[in-house]
Amino acid sequence: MDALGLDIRNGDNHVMISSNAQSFHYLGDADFDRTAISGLTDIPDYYLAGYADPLSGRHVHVYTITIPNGSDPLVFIQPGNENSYGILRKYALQGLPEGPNTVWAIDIIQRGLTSVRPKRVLCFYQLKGITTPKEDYGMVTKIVDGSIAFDASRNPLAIRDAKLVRPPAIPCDGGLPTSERGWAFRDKKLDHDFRCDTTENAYPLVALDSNDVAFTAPALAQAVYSRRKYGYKKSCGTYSCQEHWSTAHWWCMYQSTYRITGTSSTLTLKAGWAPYDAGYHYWEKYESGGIGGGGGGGYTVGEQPYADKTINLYPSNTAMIIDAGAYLA
Amino acid sequence: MSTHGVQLRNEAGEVFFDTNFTTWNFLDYRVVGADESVSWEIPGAALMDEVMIQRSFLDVPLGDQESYVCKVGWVDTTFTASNGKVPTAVFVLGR
Repeated sequence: MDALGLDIRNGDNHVMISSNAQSFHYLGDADFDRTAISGLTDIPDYYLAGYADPLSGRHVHVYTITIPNGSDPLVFIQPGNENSYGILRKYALQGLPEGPNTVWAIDIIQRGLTSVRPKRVLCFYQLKGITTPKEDYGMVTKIVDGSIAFDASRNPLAIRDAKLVRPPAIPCDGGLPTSERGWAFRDKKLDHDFRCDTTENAYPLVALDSNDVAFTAPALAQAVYSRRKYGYKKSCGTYSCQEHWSTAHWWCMYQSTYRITGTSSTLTLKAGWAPYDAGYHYWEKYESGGIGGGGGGGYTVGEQPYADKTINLYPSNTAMIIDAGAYLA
Repeated sequence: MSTHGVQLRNEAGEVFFDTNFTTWNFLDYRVVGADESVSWEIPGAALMDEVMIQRSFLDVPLGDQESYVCKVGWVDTTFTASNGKVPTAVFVLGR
């Protein structure tokens, strides 16, 4: 650590600006490109009259931004509403990540039956290789290689709040789904709620105008959970018996998402989930009964991607909060 | 609210940085590759009473796959990241 340079601290002795740290600065708002995926309002491939299979719905909105100098973008979502969003991933769409003039794509997942894009998607970047201040007034600090760490005229990132956040471990509003035997053969009646509208953890935030709040919160946690009903029967003919087995299997995969609720004095970040993929798997088999008995056989439908679990939940991830009103597009 | 400290304003004259409000400082940014174990120094962490980490997916293919991100730990100014199966962007904050 340098024995010279600039440190500015606030009344709580927290370091606010340091010539040892290279800050991010506001580059601009990302451009909306398209909504790549929409739907998932019910479980695909499943229908049984009288047995609803609703899901919470999700949409993936794709945005792009050009970074001139090889920095990676730091992305903030300003919802402007109470919908739940998460930054699914960022990737170099055109050019190399190390630049120059790399076009980055940002996929944002939104929970909901209706597609509603966030009000703004703000992008920040580091001033790698930039050694000249933007203006000839204001405050600038530099790191030892001469590149700018903080430039007041380039709208440096000011983080108003940061919280360790995580959604509940089990995403389903119906709780942890189970698997058990003892059901009737060919029982395909769905009896679990796979929606995730109300399964959230709440985190109070500092007071800000709720319309101006923006957060960066990666959709890092993933979860897959399933409900299985194993059915059985034994039927006998004149001379022999047949055993029959069935498995009805519903599954849903989720990604973590976040939303802002409340007014200025009651501002809250809620960490929850959005469905990402889902399916229905049915399997049955019955043995041949020989003379006078029926024939054997079986069939399957669908496939779960991987075993039930929640990953990337621990340790908690950090959500950062800014006042988007300070960064003019 | 303090009558001393630093305030910075944007072109519209609006205060965007105020030592009365801004709480967290950016310390470091690093990309940890898939299946990579790394250790690095952040000297500025020595100035901080608290440190926070944010991880995010970087260039991860979408789909039904188990995308394990790396875990990040630290002691004093030495940070380590490991056990990730996908590229992870790591942000380090302090105050």
